[in-house]
Amino acid sequence: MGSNLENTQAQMRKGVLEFCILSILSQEEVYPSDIIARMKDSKMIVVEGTLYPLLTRLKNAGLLTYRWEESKSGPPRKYYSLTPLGEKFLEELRITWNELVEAVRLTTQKPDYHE
Amino acid sequence: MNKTVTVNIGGIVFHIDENAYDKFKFYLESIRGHFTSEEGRDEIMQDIEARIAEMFQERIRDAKQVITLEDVDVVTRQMGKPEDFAGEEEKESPRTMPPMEGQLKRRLYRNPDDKLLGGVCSGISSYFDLDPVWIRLAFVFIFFAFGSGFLLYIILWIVIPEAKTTTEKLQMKGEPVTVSNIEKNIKEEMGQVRSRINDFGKGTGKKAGTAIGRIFEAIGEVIRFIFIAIGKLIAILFLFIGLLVAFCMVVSLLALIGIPGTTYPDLWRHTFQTGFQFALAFVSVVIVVGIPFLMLAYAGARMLFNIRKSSRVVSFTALGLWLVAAGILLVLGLKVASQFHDDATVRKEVVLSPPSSKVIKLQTGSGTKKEKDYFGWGSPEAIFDHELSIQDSMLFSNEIKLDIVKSPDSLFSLTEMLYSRGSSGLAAKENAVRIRYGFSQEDSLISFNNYFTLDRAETYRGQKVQLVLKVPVGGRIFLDSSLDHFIYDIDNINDILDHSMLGRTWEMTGKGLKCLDCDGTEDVLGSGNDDVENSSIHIDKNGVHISQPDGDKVVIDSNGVYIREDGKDVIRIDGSGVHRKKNTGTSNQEPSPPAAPANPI
Repeated sequence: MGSNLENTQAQMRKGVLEFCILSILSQEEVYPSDIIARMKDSKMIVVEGTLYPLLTRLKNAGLLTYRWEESKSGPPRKYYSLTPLGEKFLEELRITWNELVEAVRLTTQKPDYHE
Repeated sequence: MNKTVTVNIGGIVFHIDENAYDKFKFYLESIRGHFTSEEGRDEIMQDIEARIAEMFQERIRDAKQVITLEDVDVVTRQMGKPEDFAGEEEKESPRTMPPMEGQLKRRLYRNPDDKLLGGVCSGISSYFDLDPVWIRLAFVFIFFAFGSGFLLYIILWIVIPEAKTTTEKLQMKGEPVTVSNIEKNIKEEMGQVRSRINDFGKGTGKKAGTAIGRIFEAIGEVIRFIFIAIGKLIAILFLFIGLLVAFCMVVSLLALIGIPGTTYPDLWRHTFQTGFQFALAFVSVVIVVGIPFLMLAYAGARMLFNIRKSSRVVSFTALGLWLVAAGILLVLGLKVASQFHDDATVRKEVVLSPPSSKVIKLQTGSGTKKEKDYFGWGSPEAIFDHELSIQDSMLFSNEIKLDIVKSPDSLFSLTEMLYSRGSSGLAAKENAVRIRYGFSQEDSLISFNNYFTLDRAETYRGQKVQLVLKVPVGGRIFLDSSLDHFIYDIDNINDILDHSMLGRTWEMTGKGLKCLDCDGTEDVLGSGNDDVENSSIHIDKNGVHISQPDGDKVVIDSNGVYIREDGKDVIRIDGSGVHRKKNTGTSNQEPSPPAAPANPI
């Protein structure tokens, strides 16, 4: 039961993860640790390792691009930003998300006896 | 205190404790094993390493310069295990295999955490995913059944390295050995080869990405696969041969300590002066022969189980042992050889009492050490040819030969020539004197012992007995068939070979032994001199035909005697008398044969 719950939760998070990442990137140019910091607060990501394969995949899909920046405290960092294709992709996701929220709200709310 | 390792993570140098390094390395390998190269593995690994470098950097201060196990734990927890971030990938990639702990290739190690002796069984059981109890039971069984289980265990103990580090322990329990995993391993190995080829290509400023390049890569992979397969086969062969011979060597040692049912030729033992020397030589031979085969088995096992660690202790111990044994053998060999340095012969003349009958029968048989051999192939003498054996606390040898010559006087006599070798002429003579040989005469029957004997304490020094029977002119002897392998090169005027002389009666003439009852079926000395090489002699019911390639011929048949030269009769002796044709310069009226072209066969 417990692992099933975790699994379901992970599945749910997984679906919106890309949406969240693209949203963060649409606001400003960031590097992975920033993304992680913001997403950990909202418990969207549990471990950092999740992010790197995802970023690589989105980049290979042409949704993201990056540039190198020197760092004082370690190796050079990759700063990611959205490509025009990524912007369009995000817009579509946003629409879908809003539809989804509405659909979920409608199906999960208790029947309203006033109407 | 901890040993540290220097590593380069994301281009930054870190000092890291060895145990922390093992864990960290395994962690990175497990992530790496999680992705395939199509997913951009190299790039993901770079990103992750860079991030880890950053995190390590944050944890280093002036007072603490080394990455510890705790740091690795914290960082890997933050970064997460591959199975934790597997979920996000699952949707996109068709790969649905659940990620397991330890994506490492499984290797055979001895398990130090669960061991009774050396952890061999435990290691094997985790390699094959079995309960160690079964492997242990199997070893106990083959130990009692064949006695070789112990040897096998020792070899495996030496060959298989112990899992010391965390990585090795994880490798020990790595992926289960299944067909799909083996396939995967091979793919991985090939992938490594490909990336090495690519690196090489980059080094020369050219990328191996063209169609031709791919073809060559594919061919390379196939060749590599074939080589791996052949290598494994050879490894199995090495292991098998090596263990087999080593096993035989150990079994032969059992003969030395006298395990019933095992034996070694008595000759070996009695070549050495003491039992200790013999045992030493025996063990040395076993070591000198056995160690190379053991090392062969060792190499085979290492190849088979992909064990890269080679133990120097093992190699040097083996080499040392081998050299010591070879040295002992050399010394003992020289020692024994010096005992064979000189030789001597002792003669004993025995005058035989004159027989009452005309023919003396010669045979062997009295004093034979065994009863008739009902089950052997051929005569017992053939089986025990050149053998020294022990029975009734005596040494027996059948190195006896008999010759028959003309007696200078009118008496039958027998000369026993006792021969031996020794460190000096005197020692050889002393050895020879101690040879005991006997024969018996019952009127006209002489029985030779098949064996001469030595005291059990005697050593083998090439002792031999040569018998010479002297027969006076006119004396007759009959050679019994039991003398086969006993008589040797007896001269006779018929030039009949030894084995055909048996079963015949011979008379001593002024020229030598002459056969009295030969019927022409005997094997004769074929090619004594060159001028009879192409001659042919036929003795059959038509008579005697002797011919030479140049046409000269002697014919003796019912018609008479013909001597021909170049196809024409020169001399003819028949019922009408002696005829002689003059076609040569000689004119001798005498009927006696002239210088005949025939050979005195």
